[in-house]
Amino acid sequence: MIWDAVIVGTGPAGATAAEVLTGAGWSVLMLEKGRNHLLSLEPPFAPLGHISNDELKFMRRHFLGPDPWLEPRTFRRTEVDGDRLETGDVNNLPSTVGGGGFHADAKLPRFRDADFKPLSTHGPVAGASIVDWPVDYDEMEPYYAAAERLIGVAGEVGTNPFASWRADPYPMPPGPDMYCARLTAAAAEDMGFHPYRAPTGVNSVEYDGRPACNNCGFCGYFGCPIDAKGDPVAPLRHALRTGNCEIRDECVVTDVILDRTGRRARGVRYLDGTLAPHEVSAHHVILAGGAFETPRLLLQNELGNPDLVGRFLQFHFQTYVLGMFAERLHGHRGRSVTHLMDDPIVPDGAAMDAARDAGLPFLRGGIVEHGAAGHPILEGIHLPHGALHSQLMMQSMTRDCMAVFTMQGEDLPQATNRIDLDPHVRDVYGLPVGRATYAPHRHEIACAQHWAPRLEAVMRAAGAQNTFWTTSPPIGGSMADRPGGRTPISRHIMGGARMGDDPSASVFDRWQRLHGVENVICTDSSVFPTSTGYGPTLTIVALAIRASRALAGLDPLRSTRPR
Amino acid sequence: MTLSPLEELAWRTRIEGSRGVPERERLGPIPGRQSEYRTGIAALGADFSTVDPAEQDARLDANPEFRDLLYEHVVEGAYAAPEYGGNRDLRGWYAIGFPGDVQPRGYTDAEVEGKSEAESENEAEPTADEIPADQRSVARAARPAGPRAEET
Repeated sequence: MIWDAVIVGTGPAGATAAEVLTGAGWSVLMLEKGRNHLLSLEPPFAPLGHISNDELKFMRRHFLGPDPWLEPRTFRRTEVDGDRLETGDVNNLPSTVGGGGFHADAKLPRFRDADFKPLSTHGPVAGASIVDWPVDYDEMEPYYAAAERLIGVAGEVGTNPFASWRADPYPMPPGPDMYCARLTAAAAEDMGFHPYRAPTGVNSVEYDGRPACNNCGFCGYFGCPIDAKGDPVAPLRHALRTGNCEIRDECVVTDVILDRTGRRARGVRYLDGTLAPHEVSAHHVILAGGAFETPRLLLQNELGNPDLVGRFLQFHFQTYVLGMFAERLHGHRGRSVTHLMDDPIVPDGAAMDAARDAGLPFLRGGIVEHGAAGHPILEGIHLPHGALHSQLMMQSMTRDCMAVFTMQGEDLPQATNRIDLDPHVRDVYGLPVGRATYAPHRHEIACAQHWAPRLEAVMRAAGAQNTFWTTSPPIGGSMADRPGGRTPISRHIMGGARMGDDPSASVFDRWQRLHGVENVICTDSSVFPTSTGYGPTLTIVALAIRASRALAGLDPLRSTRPR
Repeated sequence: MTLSPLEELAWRTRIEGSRGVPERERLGPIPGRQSEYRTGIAALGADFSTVDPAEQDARLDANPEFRDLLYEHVVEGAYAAPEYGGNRDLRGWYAIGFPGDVQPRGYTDAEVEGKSEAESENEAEPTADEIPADQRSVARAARPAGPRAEET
């Protein structure tokens, strides 16, 4: 059998491609290297019952994979660190049917108009390779709308003054505000910030046959036990219902097979869960393993522009501002984050002054998420043992009394930040593991240093008695203890195979086809030319809809800007 | 739910140690939790449970690696879901006012948005044991064997 498309990876990027292509009548085989805990692969594709609200399983036992001993990654900051500093979890996203969407808390903001043309809007920065995207916001708007309908996004229009235009309202109204975000959002507004209810891929009402969220609180880093999170169960279920889609889990793709011309792919080779090799034929190969694994697969196969594959790896540079309150905030109820604010993305006078002082043309931070803290095992492990332990656990300073701002700082693309193949370390499949070489640009550090004290002031105005800040990766801050360690923990990974029109300056073209091998398409965030200061998922999904519709010969989506 | 063959390889290696088996030594030799516990417990002395608390602390502090491993597992036992064998009768969660898994009841919108009604959290929160065990979550009984194995 020759499949119309074989898709490598079942996260938001692969699931979206499968939804569009099966809807167009294509036969699609999805290969997922992790296990399936998401949904039955037989009609009616119901939940499997594997998801429970269990901190141990999800947070401490690699339930969603990858197990860092079976599939390690390696990390170093620069070549000066030698071959590697760390071996194990390097900003891992889940390796499971559903991928990163499985554990995400599903904040799904759109990028802004300027985010697609950062070079023309803001100009270059020394030491970074800032480029415009080969697509603009006006073209993307209907794909964003389609992505919001597909996943089911709850949000409100008109409260974020920095947002670009949209043709339609969100498919659902927002869910309830978390108590601590009400406190911090009110304080932020008083101080001139512009908080708004986060667009969230969690049902506030019944949607697409899935129930409304019942606020159980196990959202970020967990799976949804009742299917109220739409990503990625909605696109996968749609694809399976067409009868045109097959998902094979525990199948790790090792090779993209080219024909004799070297200009067309004819299928892939993979190893199953017993390490037995298989080969499948397909008219198209869609890479959707994420911005770490896709560049790694290209490098293993020596595919794509060898000067560029793996380069311009971007993580968001996260700044965490922690506020300890005298009262209990019950952040364990409801969604993990309910408010965002974009102010640090659009530099004000003070930010421009700080940029000038740092010798930079601008400072572009990222969205600030208003959220709360963690779970009891995490709290317990960071508290001292002995007689004080029980008392501190009852007071729960770092769980029930802590509010957290997370700024997803824009991470400028640098050629030296890259994925390559580790020269020595192999995974359980016998393949060289991916190695990240990553150090932030001084722009990211200046941004954190500028915004963190301002966000601490908001925390204090909201009622926090003590505030601290730190970053991932660490640069200091007011927190002596740096729980993030040396490897970034943003779980947002972008770049590594940027897209563009010029084959000498990009790996994929504007339709996300590999320059030189056009039936290899990448629908994940590897293609992002820049990182912006927004979570990547909605843009991954919108781009995947656009690329997949073009691939299947469907008409482009269009929308009209309201006057 | 059972472990996949590869997951079983990983957990057996962590628990039993690599023991010179080539497929377990891909990233270098691993002593294994069982061996760490045997050595660590032996070093505490056979009379550990009968000596006074200050002496117990001193002996634990003399072996910080084992102390930290033990502490991590004690915290996991105390505050993880009771199905793993610790947190019996939800006492770990009661003690700290943590409600645990509240499916399928969840929280009302008012409970999410509002200030905690009572500072006595044990009364303010719906607790997991007010919900019949078989309804708390469809999956509470279906957990991977690996974590359990590591705790034993």
